[in-house]
Amino acid sequence: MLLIIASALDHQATALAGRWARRHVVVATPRDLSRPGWRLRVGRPQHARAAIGARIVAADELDAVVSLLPWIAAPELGHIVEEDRAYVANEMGAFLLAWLTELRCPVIDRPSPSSLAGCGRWPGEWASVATSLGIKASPGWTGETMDVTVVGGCAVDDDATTPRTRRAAAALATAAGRNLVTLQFKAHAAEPVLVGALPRANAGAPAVADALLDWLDAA
Amino acid sequence: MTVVLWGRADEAVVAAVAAALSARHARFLAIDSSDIASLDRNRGRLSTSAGHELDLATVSGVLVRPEGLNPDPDVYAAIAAWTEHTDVAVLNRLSAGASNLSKPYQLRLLADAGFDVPDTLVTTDPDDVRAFRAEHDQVIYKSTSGVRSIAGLLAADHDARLSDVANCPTQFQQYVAGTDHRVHVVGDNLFACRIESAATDYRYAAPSGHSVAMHPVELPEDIAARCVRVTKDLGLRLAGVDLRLDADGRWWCFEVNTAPGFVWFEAQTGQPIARAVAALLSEGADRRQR
Repeated sequence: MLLIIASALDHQATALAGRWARRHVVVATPRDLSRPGWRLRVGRPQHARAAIGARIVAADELDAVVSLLPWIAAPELGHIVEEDRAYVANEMGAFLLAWLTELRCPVIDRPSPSSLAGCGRWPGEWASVATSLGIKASPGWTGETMDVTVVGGCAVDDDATTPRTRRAAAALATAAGRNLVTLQFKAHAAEPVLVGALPRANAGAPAVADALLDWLDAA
Repeated sequence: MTVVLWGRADEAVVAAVAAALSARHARFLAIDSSDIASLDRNRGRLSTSAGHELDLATVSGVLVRPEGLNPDPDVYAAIAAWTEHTDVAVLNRLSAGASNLSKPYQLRLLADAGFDVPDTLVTTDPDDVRAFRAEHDQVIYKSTSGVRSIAGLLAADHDARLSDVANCPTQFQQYVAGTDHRVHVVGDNLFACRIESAATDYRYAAPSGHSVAMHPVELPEDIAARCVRVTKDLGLRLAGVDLRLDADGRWWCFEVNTAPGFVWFEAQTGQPIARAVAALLSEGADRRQR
């Protein structure tokens, strides 16, 4: 079973699940974290469980997890009384960080305390990573950008980007320890100029979804 | 050289470190997020809203205790990014300090570092809680996130409310009886104290009608070394390690506080923690922390 963790409002997650429809894929949203059945025993990953819709899913049923949820936003918890939403969102985020970290199956990307969808970085940090690789960066750029998504160290081929930009994107993702990330570059620039990274990757694009599935199958 | 105290000047830890820096005749700038007008890493300048400019090349260390956000998120992000990448001593980088935003996440890191940690369950299933309680003599509950909460003992009269855990993953932990110890690690220096209190959570002893007494102690060499090592492993230079010594002589680790409010402990024990922090911040260029 493939598990996608995402906001209920995330069309990328819906598109990704649709593209993977021939496989057994389920999507868990923050609302699911208010269903009985989630479990984490610290140091005992085999005891982990999820509750998605009406189903309890044991950790050993999971072949892989894709995390497209950088954080849990309180407004998404409409089923929780308003005065408790921020607290509950914090608690759910803390749980998911530990739960995703404990899982033995591939998780793309493993969470960090700054993002449930991989290693969150400030725009200035991405600029530092770029500079260390000899790639130009312009974190304050507000003009037109183009997105390049990297899966497992390879930039997904896209007619709109040059091979040089794709190589730069792959190098940046590797240096930042990201297996799945969408980077933004200045559009129409003579050479790659990094602007930043999206909080969660454009995983719903067909080419990205296919590359992601190939990567997970090989992991 | 100048030490930057990123936080409110009247906050207890910032004030204590400022006093210790003054005693060393060290220059410092105490400034909270909202008082920073800009931070330009290309020019190496930090500008305050009061019109002062600080050359970042003259900064020897940064104490990170921001309380507010800058009205301009780009300015906050610039400060955060600078503290992540500067080579001077930073106590502590925001990224390193984030591990205790999730107690079970950090507990796993502590177990990996060789500490004994209490058996811990986080669940939305009331039946899981009942089964866990049956495994242990006593069980406590507390927040899963870094939000401060009062640890309480799970009692029989909680049964009627157990169904509430279905709304939100809730943390339950094996209760370990013993004597609390707080260990402050500052660089390679260590300040340990024994805490005597009958309260379940000594931080809230007074409201529960209990007293607290603290006494400086020497830790066994291996436990002291483990505290220093786990502090480094977590990318920290300043930490408050919460230990408990049980009746069998076993040391349990519950949490590493990544922004310890050490002033209370310093006042109770006389241990020169602020002085050690001031010394570390004044040292200048430091090894990379990660």
